[in-house]
Amino acid sequence: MTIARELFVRILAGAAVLWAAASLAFIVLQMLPSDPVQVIYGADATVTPEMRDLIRAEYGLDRPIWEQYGQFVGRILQGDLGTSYQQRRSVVSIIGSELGSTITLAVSATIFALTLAVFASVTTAGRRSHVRSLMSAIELLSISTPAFWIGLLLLTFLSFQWPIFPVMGDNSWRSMVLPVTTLGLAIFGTLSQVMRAEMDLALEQPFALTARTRGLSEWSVRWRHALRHALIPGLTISAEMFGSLLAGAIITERVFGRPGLGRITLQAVTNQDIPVVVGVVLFVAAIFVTTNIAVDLLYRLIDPRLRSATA
Amino acid sequence: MKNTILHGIGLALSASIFAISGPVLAQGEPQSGGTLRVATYEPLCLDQNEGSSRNTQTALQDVYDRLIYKTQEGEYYPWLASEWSISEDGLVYTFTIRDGVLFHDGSTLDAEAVRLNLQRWVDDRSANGVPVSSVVAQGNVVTLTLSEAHGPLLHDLSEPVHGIVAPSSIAAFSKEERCAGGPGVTIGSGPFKVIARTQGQDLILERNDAYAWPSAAAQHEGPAYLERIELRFLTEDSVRVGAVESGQADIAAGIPAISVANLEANPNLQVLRTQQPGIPWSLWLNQSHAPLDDQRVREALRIGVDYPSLVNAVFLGTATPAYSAITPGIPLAYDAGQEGRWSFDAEAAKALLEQAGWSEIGADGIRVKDGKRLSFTDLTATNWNNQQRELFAQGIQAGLAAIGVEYKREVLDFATVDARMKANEYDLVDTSQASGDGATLLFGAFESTSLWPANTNWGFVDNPDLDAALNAAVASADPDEQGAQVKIAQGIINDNAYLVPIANPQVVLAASTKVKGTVFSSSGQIGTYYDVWLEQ
Repeated sequence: MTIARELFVRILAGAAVLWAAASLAFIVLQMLPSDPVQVIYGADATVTPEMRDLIRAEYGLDRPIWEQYGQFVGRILQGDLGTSYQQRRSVVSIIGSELGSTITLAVSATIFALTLAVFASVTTAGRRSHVRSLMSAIELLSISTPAFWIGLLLLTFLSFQWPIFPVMGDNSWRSMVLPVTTLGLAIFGTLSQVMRAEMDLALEQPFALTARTRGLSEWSVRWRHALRHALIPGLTISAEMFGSLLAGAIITERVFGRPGLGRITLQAVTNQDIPVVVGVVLFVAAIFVTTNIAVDLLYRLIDPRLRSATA
Repeated sequence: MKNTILHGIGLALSASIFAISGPVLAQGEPQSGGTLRVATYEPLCLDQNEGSSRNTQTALQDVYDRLIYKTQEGEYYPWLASEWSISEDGLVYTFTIRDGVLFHDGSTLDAEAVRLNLQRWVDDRSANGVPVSSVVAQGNVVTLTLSEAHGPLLHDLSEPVHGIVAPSSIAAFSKEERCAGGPGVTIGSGPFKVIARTQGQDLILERNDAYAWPSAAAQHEGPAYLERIELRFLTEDSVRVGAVESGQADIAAGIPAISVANLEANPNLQVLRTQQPGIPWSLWLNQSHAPLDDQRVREALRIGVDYPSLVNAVFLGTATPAYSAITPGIPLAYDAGQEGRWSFDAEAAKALLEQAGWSEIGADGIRVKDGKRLSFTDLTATNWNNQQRELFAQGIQAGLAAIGVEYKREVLDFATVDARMKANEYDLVDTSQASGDGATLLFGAFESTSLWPANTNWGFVDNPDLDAALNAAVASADPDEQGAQVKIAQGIINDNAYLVPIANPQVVLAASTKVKGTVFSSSGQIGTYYDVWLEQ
């Protein structure tokens, strides 16, 4: 199978996944016991019958279900995800305006986590030392500690106790340090453990021995050979990492009062702002699909064995 | 029609104002200048006609001015309307708009601008059920004509949600743009103007130096003291508390009960509190079906649990035991005579249940009648709930179990609660309601036709005497007459045990001791920042 053809098949499959996600979202929406009109008006509001009818007409809720489904899919095909019940803005513009902040946070956190994980695995793989035990303990701690708590601890000590990184009145890089650390630590543990396990294996392989006999220093063997092997599983779990990042972003953005996708997702779910929830679901599904395709292509770049196998 | 609102009984606010404590106002001459940093909640939409919430009204109360101002004592003061009159039959309201008021963009606020704002409230929001038949502007006078008398209208117009928006903004921008807001888009005539908004993060207000039209209730004239206000949105309670403790915020809203003692002990901080005006945190008793259709059972619920002790233990001084359907936060409408009308008496509660036929006790300790267990399902929505109520409910459960009554509290998402209410599948509802207008509150919660979902008569109360008092209260535009009728209603509600009032909540804020002249709005939110100043 050529790369182009495989890519085509993957994209087609991706579109099917998106359609399924959209339909599932629509079905769930229909199954909710709620009355959208009441949700639009909010929990505390009272609605006169005339207003109720007008709202139903405005959001097309008075039409038969199959017609609503047709319009729903039709609008999505045109890139229209509907209008938020709560914010009165189009879902596309809401996601658009919040995306930048989350991407900045997520990318910074990933770089932070990756740097830390590479450092941790290169220095401790294949060794039995106290440093390794300590590093494993830190990783386990970061995996098992909720991001929420990490965030509050960081805030308590580094902002409230010693005012190093302000939570208010500062929008410079200093305001980014604690959120990035919180989110970064949430993914560091898994990443580091997986990478070191792979590195442990790689360092026992014959090629590592060969490299050493060629006179390469221990550091070169680790950096230039073993690390490359460790990156493969790192990539494989990147889809899972993406999930962790999004979940972590919800917590991080809430604790630190930052704008972003996580915050609007949480807000939409608690307020039953269905168009936003559906929009975020579709958007995330689209990113998952794209990431998976991109990761498959990246494998070939990192691992030449795959390139020759399919060429 | 295009728009919706998040406005209603529970969100209705009044603009009451009230000085926190004597010393605050007594200390020194007000100083001008400085930035007030506030850790608070986020408003959703900056044009309140498109959708409003308590957070929105608090954030925007100093950006948009209103026609009239209402104090917590229930008195009305001129503001944009220099004077007003109500016709004898209560149908025609005339407002004279004061001269020389300018919007932030320099355009003039005149009678026509006021008419436009009122008209879109009528067109887009059906005037929230107020029977408005016409709005006319002539010269500097705006005339609002009703099809039937509606006493709470003045109160409604005094709420921050009725801030006057510049017609230039309404004409130039789409509702989506006005909702998102920002400098040059969000245009009012208030003492502060919006200079930056980052959604999910902050809203920055700057002093309007041209301001010369405060309400007659204000403490000074001319521009506000503060140069700048930074509203920073922090959702987490503990983060807001930490921000004010560490001096990063000058004021923090929504202080949880657990933090109050710590904050009070801090010499750099002052704890500001007020009674939440509205309906106390209460149990609505659904008497449309057995067993709560029996008054003896309702009374047993009222005296069968030691609510006052629980209030002290759980709310840690941030709430007081409640005895009426209105909180002391509405002085004109609160009937203090209801206090202590009943007290905890488990034996008397058991006797009442036995009289009502619930004398047999099953193997699990729960009373049984004709094979049915005496069990109550209490509904509440997640956004009505909080940690203290959660804890408190365990106390109710234990108290009722001791007299052979099973109590199950279900905290559900609002949509599910809505569906269960429509299906009449509940015995109790627990929540509180916030508003400075007692007449509208009790009408909505107890008048016989005010049923869910149009209103909140969850108990299916249907009492002609009560209806008469409530209708008289809502029809009267005279605050004293309104208050008198609302007090009669409170008596009838307690006579028949239609409601079990539990706790009068307080709203608690923390502020740096440098913050002076703070006031509360009658919603219990922090009030206008016009008179607030910072000790330099």
